[in-house]
Amino acid sequence: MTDRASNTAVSALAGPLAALPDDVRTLLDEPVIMHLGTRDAALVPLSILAFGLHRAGDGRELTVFAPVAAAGETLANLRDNGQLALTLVRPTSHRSIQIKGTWLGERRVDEADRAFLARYRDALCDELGLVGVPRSLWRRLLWWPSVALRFEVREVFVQTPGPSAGKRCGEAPEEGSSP
Amino acid sequence: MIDLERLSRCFEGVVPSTMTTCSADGIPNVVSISHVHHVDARHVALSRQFFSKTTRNLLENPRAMVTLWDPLTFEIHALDLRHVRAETSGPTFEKMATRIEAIASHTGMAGIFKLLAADVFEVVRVRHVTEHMGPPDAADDAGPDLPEAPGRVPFERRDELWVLHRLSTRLNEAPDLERLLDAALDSLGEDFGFAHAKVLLVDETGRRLFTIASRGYDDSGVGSEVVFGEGLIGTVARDRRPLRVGRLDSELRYGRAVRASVAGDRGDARLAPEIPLPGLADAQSHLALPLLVRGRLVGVLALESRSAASFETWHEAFLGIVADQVAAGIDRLAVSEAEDPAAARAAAPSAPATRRRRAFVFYQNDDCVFVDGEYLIRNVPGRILWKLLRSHAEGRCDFTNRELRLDPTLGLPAIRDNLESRLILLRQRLAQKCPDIRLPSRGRGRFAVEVDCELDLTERATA
Repeated sequence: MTDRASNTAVSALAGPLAALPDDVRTLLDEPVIMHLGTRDAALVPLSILAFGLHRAGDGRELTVFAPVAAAGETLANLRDNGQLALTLVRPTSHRSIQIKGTWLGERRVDEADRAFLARYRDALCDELGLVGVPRSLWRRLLWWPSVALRFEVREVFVQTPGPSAGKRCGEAPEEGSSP
Repeated sequence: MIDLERLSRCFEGVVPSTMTTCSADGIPNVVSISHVHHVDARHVALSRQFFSKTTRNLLENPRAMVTLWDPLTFEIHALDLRHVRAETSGPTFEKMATRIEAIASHTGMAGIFKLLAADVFEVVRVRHVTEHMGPPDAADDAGPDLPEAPGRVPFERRDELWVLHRLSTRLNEAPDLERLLDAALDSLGEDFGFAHAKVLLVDETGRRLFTIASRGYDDSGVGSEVVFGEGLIGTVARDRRPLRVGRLDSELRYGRAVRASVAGDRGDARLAPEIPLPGLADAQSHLALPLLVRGRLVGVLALESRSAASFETWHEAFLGIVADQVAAGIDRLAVSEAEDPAAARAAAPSAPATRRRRAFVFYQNDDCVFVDGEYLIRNVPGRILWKLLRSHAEGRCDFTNRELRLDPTLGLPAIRDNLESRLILLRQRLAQKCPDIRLPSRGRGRFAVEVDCELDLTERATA
């Protein structure tokens, strides 16, 4: 979702996100399931559910939200090495992208963030209802308080299932490669 | 560590599972995965359909993490894994390949989207993650939930031996194939709560199945056909392995996403059309079991449910026993019976006067029978019906199975002719499309032709 107050459409993207094909570019603004992957000093990977993506500027920097209750080890990993991968999947279509990034830090969350995440939850509830997820369960998800994680977008990959999955945006696909 | 067997329903997938890996130079990678396969108490397997960044990462660094969602509680089980091997043959690979090929076949992607390898992982640790969920909010008007899955009986209340005993007795007492199939389908509904089920048998070509009996459908579908290798049921018939799909809509969306991706890259020319699913339009869970007798396929038992994840590993194992019993019964009764002369009795006279006229046409080129311009039946049952109608027009009412078996024009094979199943199919199609004609049993190996209409019989070379 682009703007915390107005939720305007995706526009004027710069950096790696600008190379996203049209059919997956809209994922940045749609209700999607997000998984935030990190790793520790011993290269043991970890992922948690993330919840809400915010783009303030031209898309070179993004902010992803994660529930505080689940974010402890992830924050420790980010403070250790700063490496992250964020996967966005639209449940009704399996359209998907993966963003690789470098952690920039946390910022304070405010009431605008809270309102943004409330709207995000409602949109995601509707989306998940279409694929048969019980609404009463999904609405129990603890989405607040959340931690706001800022990161720089380094690379973007189309990850919709199929032989082209893993194609780095802005480059020709590597032969036989997918994530 | 948590017993993986207790997580059976989590392996069905609701929100797609994810897999996180990390390259040797420390870059994490997170991907959605369509299915996590439970191998044994300490191992799981993931399908490799395309060579990927994930594969490369695993070759560099075998550590991985997979999230499994509980479809009922929405809690997460986080599996810390270590990659141990990639299998390209063997039971795990074949079982996973069947599942993938069934979805690929159904979405018209057979041969394009297939299993390259089964990546097998040791489960190092299972973490039960609940901190992302709050307590239920009674005041929160969240809208309707899914209905509770049928057949979901807690471990401690599964009196499976009694159910099996009851079913076994019913099958054992069935005097003929029709009542054997009734007993099996009724028991699945009454004892297990699986209200939507059907039995399909192999036809004389050995490459197709036809539906012989069903429960829980507005249109019984009796007579509908499935070609081996096509769709979910056809794949089970071809591979002779059970197939359990817990979240069909999710699996099909995944298959369609691959299809859309391939179509975008290569155009539509190589893609076969998607195969319509027979049965419930909104089914979420499927379990199809091959009916095997000494390795020979006699049919398929197919169950479906509108609820997600209705069929667990336990059902696959237990209903596998049921399928074996049904298969043995079919084999026993399909080749049964000498006639019972004492049971022969005269057919009831047909109702007189005011009878409607029904026009039957037999097309010689494909052994197809139409009634009043509507398709009725074809192949062996079509030839049988035509013989019976012509004989009835000459004044005969009583027939024996033996004379049908000896009639070379019907084309029944010398052994395992499945005549009983053909007669059941014929009776059911007549009941649906032309109830003026019936074929009641007159005792073992005998039946009558009862006709409550005037017959107009025409034979044509082609349509």
